[in-house]
Amino acid sequence: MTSALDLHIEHIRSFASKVTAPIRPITLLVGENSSGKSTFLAAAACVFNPDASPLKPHFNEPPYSLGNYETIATYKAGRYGRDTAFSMGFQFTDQSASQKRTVIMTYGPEHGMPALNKYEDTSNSMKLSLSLKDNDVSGSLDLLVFGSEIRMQFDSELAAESGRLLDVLRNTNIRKNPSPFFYAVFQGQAKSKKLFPGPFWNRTNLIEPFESTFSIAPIRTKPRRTYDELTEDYSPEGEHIPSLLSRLLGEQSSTESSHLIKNALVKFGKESGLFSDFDIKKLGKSASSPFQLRVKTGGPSANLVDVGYGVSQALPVIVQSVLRQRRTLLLIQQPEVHLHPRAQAALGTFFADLAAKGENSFIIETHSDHLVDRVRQEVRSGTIAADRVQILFFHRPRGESIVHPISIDDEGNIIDAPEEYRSFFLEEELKLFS
Amino acid sequence: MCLIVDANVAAIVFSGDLNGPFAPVWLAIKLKKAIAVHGGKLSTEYSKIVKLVRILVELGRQGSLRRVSDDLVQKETARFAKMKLQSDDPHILGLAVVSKARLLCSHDINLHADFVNPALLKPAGAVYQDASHSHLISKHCRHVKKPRPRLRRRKQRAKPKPNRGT
Repeated sequence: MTSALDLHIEHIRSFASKVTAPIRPITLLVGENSSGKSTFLAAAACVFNPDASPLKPHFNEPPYSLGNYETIATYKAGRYGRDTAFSMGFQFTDQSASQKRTVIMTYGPEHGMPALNKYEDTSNSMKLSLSLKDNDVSGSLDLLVFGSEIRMQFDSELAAESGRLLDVLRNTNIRKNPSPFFYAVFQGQAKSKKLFPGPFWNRTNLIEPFESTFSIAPIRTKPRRTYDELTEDYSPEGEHIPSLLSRLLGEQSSTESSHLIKNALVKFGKESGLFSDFDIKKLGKSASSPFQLRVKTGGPSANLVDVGYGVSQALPVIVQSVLRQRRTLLLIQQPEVHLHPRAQAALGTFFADLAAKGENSFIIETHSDHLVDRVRQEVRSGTIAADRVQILFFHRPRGESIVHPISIDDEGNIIDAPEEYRSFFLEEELKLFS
Repeated sequence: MCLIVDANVAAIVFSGDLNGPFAPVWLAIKLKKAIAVHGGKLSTEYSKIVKLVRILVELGRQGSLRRVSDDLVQKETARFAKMKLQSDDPHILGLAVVSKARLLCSHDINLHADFVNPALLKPAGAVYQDASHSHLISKHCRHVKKPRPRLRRRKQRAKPKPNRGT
């Protein structure tokens, strides 16, 4: 593997201590209910979304709902009370480009909602440490410019001098493009103007682990007999999927995406035993005409609502995963719902195939042994390399969530599992055996 | 990886019996303090013990039972098959070489002789036969990564002693 990625979270809900969890092209989150898997996913959705400014994190963007500061920061009973801050971030090492970046964002309470207190961003060419308190911005900035290291301190006085440091910060995604903020800092120090000519501001080469993230909710939208409202606006429940399929798989459509999706659907349908073919029936000639989704399950094509519920629940997972987007992270909650074990296992092959190609990455919260077992089998058969798969086991002894990274070796064996891992399942098997 | 459970004792070891001669082995496997290995012909033999299959699969899911490459085991097995052995189990010796496991649970006395023979296995293996051999588990499974320690509880402040006699 040419890159390594870790997610950090601390003092978020039941994660009272600092958690550093490795993220791989396939990361499987397993563990009992209320052990922290969904909170982990929500944090990952915030951290790995480069479009979400650290100042305006998407803590409550569907399908997640972390709530306000009181419901996010860890509450320790008794005199310890609620934590005064919580933090999250990532460390990404891209060995092929010899680049490394660490981002840690710390939030405190402000009018009951989480507000950015501290932002630390360290990479090969930059080290930014930023503090925000009572509308004051202060911190330090180290830059490696043309081989020389420049260190600058900035504070409220400089903010007053430049007159607009806070405004710039509010209107900038400092993580994705910090140049306007740097420029504002340097504007406050006249001497620096000579040091940093215009072209420098385009040289902040900051690496991001992903270009975009998509979340898929555990309950997907209900199928309809006829679709007459067209929307391709992404929704975690997959409400946009029928319209997308209608456009891509329509009669006149023969783009690369349409072939890709059609092939993926038919392949998954056959392997899972859900259907052997998939098509769109237009009920008119215009592009906005109503349409029906139809699947073939042996006999003639049938409407989506007339076949098993699992088909409609699997569609958003399959289509959204296949859409060709560079370096996309998909955060999927229980892709196996309503699926027979055969189809659950087929999902394992489906994700392993896609992750092996290196295009998309998946963090999958699952309770399906069949899915996990199939991923292990795909490692053993060589479909996907062992170092591209990670299992994260969540459990909650004494009320605090703990994450155990569990690896898989080339033979698909489980490595370094803690004692608690699957102890319940073994006891159940033994009860049946004896 | 540390021990091999021969097919002739698999039903006893993996049955979860906590009183029999193999109880310490079972406990060590269950608590992930020992890892049993299989591969090659032994995997085929395991798959024929139908009543055990679900438990073996579950042990595999837990990481307490690991599979090693069939190809490598078969290659070593073929090498041992050409040698003069007391037993007819070259696949167990082949598995020991590939997995580096040097502790054997088996009822086959001829295999015992082969397994502890330094001319065949280097370092020579050991054979577990009953609970008096439980020290062999800790000796041969020393390298198994111990589960992480549990979180330490915060130290309770000592309560002040009641003031008496004033």
